[in-house]
Amino acid sequence: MKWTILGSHHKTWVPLLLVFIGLAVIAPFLDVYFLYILTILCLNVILATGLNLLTGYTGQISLCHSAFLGIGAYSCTILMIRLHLLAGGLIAGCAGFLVGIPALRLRGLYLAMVTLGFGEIVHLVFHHWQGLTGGPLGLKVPTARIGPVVFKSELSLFYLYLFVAFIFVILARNLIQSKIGRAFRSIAYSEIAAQASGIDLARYKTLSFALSAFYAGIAGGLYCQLLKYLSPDPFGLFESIQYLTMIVLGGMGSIIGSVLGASLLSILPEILRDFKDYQELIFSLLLMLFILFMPRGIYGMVRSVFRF
Amino acid sequence: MMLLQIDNLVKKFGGLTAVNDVSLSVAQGQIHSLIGPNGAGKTTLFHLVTRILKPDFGKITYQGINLLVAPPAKITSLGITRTFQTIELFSEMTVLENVLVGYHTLIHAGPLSSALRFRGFFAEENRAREKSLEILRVVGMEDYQKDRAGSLPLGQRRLVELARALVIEPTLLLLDEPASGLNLAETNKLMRIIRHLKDQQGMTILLVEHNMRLVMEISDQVSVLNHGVKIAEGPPSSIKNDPSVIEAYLGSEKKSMGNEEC
Repeated sequence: MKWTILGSHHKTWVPLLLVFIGLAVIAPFLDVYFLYILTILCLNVILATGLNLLTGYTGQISLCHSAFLGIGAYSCTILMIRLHLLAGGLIAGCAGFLVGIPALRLRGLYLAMVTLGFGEIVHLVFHHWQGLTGGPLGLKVPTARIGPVVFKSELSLFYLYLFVAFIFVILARNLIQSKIGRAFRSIAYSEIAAQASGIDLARYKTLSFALSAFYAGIAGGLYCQLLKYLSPDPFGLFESIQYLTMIVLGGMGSIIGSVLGASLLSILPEILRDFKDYQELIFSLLLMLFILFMPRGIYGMVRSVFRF
Repeated sequence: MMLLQIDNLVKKFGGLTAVNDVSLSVAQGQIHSLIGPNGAGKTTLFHLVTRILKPDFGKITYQGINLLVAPPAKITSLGITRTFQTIELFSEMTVLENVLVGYHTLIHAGPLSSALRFRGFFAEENRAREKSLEILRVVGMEDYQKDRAGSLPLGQRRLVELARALVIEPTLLLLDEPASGLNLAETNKLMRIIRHLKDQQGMTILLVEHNMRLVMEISDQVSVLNHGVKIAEGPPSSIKNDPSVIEAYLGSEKKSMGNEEC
């Protein structure tokens, strides 16, 4: 399946740095509610950026990214070691690598089905392996800390999330603007030509899966800090579709698109607070409409209108 | 020693034998053309050499080494590159980016050093860029470097694909119908480029073509395939008048037309 991949600009980091500084400056003046939304926004940015690496750039579908988020969250909570954030990311990354292996032989619909299956299995494991995950009641999450620094206030947590999001987005952009990014995109456009150019398909496809799962795992490690109790609820199919919607809306194959889509769809549920029951409907509708009529996403539209 | 030695190659697809006991020798520094009617097995032969397909029987030796143990992605590092009959460009990437992908195996930065931009990163990227622009200049596509590859007309897309195959300075270049769809001026330009590659760079070129003028004018050696079998081989002059070749192309029409020999 050939998505419309936008490709990133060289000056991507400039607007991102401005937004980062802007948010860092105004954060102390925001009330808890807005801060919470922005914190979730940072988390979604990390996840969307990682997902875009896989789906937007390499053209591999994944319907199980909330599973990687969950693996990251649960790993961090269960392990409770110093650098648990990184551990969560790495464990999720390994899971991503494993999912990447069947991806080597599957395309499009079949790949989607495998990832769907994986996501559901993980969700069931969270639910039923009571000894490890505490089942439906979940686990209590310890307070976040890096060394002696304890993140208790909402503001300090926000700064942590903002910083991590910024770093990871820049790292993604660096990857994209390198031979790795070019290899990813070439795989999406023509596997046969990519291979003829010396690109090891197996290596890059599994790298793409592992990398995007790693991103989701890092986001998971951060996410569990926001919740007092970690339960299987936030890691289901609907959430995976939400993340896919973010990159479709924002712009697939674009770092700025990831940030844009994640931002918009972090704010949307808050606006739709009163229509909580219709959330699933609205998200699914948005996804369908964009795929049908605006496959390049919002950022793609902006670029074609302003011709850059 | 032959640069590329193909011995008794067989490839079957179910009941169809696409390549039937074909042996071929490509000498270093020569332009060797492979001709034959559609479905003769020429592209299949290319796929076998570049390891996209595995043969059912036979040997392929390149520079004295057995090519059949190499995985497809390794072929480029051995100095073999190719173009495709159907032009496999990365359509949404720019012309320059397409050529940069061709340079992939010569960039050694891994994911970590690319993400963190370690020391060697920029040096390698700049070298890749320089080389890519140089090759684009050779094929005359330098001005189009920022254009989306898919937006270009056919002739120019073929040149971009050629540039992508040339950027790592291959020892053996496989061209699959490079002149297909080109007009007279474009074909002449292509011939000039191919001759330049052979004369100035000593490149060995294996060429599949239907354009007889091109084949006869630039080839050192021509092999003819029909229904997966090699039916003739030799310099262009001997192939031109070979009755079995003429028969292969014209088929039973020859008898009803009443020309050539009966």
